[in-house]
Amino acid sequence: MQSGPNRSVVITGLGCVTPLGNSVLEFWNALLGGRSGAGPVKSFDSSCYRTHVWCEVKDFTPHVQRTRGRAAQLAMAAGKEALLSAGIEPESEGLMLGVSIGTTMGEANFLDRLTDTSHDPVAAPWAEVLTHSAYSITSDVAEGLGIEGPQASLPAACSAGNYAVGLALDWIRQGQSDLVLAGGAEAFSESAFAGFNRLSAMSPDRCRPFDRDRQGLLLGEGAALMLLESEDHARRRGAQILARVLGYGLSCDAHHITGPHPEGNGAAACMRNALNDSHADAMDVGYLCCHGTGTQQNDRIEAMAIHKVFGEGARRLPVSSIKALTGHMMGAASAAEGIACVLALRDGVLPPTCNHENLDPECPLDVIPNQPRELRVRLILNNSYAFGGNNACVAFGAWPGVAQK
Amino acid sequence: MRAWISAMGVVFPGGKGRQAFARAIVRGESLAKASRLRPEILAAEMEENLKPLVERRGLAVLSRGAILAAAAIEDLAAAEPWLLEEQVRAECALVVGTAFGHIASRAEFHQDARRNGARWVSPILFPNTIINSLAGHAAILFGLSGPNSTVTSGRRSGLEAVIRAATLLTAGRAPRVIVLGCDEVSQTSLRGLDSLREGAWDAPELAIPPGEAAGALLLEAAGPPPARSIGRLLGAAERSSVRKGVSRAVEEAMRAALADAGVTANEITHLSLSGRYGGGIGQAEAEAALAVFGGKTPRMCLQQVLGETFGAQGVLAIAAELAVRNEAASEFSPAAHWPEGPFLVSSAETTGATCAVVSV
Repeated sequence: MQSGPNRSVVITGLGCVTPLGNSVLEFWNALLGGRSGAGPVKSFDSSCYRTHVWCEVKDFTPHVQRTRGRAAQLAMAAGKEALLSAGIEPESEGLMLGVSIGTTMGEANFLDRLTDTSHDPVAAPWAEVLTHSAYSITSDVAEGLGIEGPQASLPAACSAGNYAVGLALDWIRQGQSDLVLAGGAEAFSESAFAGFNRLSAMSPDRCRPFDRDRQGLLLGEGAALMLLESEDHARRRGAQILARVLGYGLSCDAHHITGPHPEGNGAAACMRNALNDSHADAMDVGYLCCHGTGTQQNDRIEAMAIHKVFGEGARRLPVSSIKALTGHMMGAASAAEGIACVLALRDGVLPPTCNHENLDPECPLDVIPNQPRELRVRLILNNSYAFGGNNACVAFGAWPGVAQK
Repeated sequence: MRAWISAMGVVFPGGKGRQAFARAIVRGESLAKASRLRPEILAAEMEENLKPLVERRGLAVLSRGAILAAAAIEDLAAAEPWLLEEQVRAECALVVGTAFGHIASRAEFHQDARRNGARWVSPILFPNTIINSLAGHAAILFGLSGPNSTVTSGRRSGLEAVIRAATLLTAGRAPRVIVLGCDEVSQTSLRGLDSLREGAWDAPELAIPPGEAAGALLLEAAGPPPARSIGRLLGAAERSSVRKGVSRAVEEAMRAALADAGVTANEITHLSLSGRYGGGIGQAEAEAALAVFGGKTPRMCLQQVLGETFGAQGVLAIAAELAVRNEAASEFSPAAHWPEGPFLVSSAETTGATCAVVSV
């Protein structure tokens, strides 16, 4: 197997289950059509909370046995779609296929049951809590799809999807794998709903990234996985290539466990690291898919970081946040946004920031408002930030001749 | 997959620091005693109050696991104070391996929600319910601004962290990485283990007490040796048990790690196995070791001293070997008989196995 820092890595398959739809096609059509995945909480009684809206995966039928957690079930469905779209049969002889999945809360539905039973130590699902830790999402997907190569579970909170894609890139570059199914998975968690409510980070109605009147984020759930493959392997088997993965960057704020660095140092550093890893310059970037949670602090600091990296060019760089429609899918968020980046490169159309009415003067950016923008670009950055100060940014590049429009 | 190991830090129920750790390992006596959480069982636990172990402010909001992690890093940095100079720590990465690092905090959060109502659950408790909070808190305490990552794969977590750190170094994403293995004993983990054991804690065949500890290793990029080094990662490998079972996964991981290191099974002077908790997993690991190394290579199991430390095991196993070998030249006479030459550390789980070959 070839290896080296310059080994070209491409994307040949995509799969997702999201509040906007349970396939890549439904997801992309909803993003471009401005159809929101938000709705009232139905999974539990939200009357005791300040907010009552979130973004749920709908009409999802698991393909796997019930004992697996919901996050694994979502990831399994996304993984199947990605492999099918890439024309990969995981159990093929000699296939060096790995799997790398990020998450924030792990299999939260088992953990959430502690709330109901913590008064009764015997009844509490202690064994399930241990055996359905975050790593069970990856191992369940590997087992369910018959993936024998390297496995990784990356609990990097809301940057986890980008972390997983980044590790996949390194695995392929370093010759540890030819193909890696990489992304994120998150099942809805009442713990997260309670926690973000108490942090006053949740919007009572809509998510409005970069808007002057934004009130916070909406939580969501889902899974998004993409198949990364070495270009030489993809060419050998005649795969349809959708885009390149050019590089990624990581950094840590080392400042506050939930809040970003006040000057956006870490956020800027990870964008610069991604550009360096891609051997690219800020001038090469044609679109930036923002973390854009819709909280006051996140959007303001992210805008500041973008200005640090792009200088005056920041005002002309098209940016958007799809979280206005998907909600914040936490561990799956940046992976779903990565899929949007790949499709934007493929189709020459940039997804909008919906619910956007008045640009916050503290976020002086070219926020694509409400309607998609037709623009063919060559390089896209995908930002993600997380609790723990975990910042990750992935750079995607266009694949010549892949245009669908 | 190669890297220099230039420093280590450790906190464990027998104390803090390389020398105390080496003595405990060579002595080989179990540190388990009646659990402070459940006196009817044996556990290798630290003191209830861990804060005196860390001479830093800001510990009030940290979970027990995060304080353990901070104590191990502080021990490491005490030996290598240059590590915390501004320019160095700004580039230093941190990779944490933990199996259950957030479980107790999650249970605490739920109990608080039940006590005060979900609407009034403490917002301070929430961040610790997220698995990467150990790494995040450690980065804040020590100002580590390089890549910050958490991995979790049960008992394989510690060695997986070593491999991910080596990957970061090979990719040039950081000049040095602190690798941390850490897990705590909590009511939640004890109850979970109780359920999994399907039997009494004092049953002889299951008499492996849970343990808590944290180990930290400083890895630096392969190439010219750093100013000081205590060991060298020669190779590593991980193999999944999907479709092949645990025993074959361990055997393949051992053989692949040897191949990656460029050494033969005969050159390995010592094996450190992850042990027998989990019933068939330990047996599968022993069978694999027999198939690869025969019966003559001396072996140890950290469980004998520290109990089952889960996500900390792999890092602690490397630290144990390095501590003993690096202390042997001093006044530490019992260690004189410790084998020299490269050693192999194995971590087995239901999901597969991870192995590393290290030399001094």
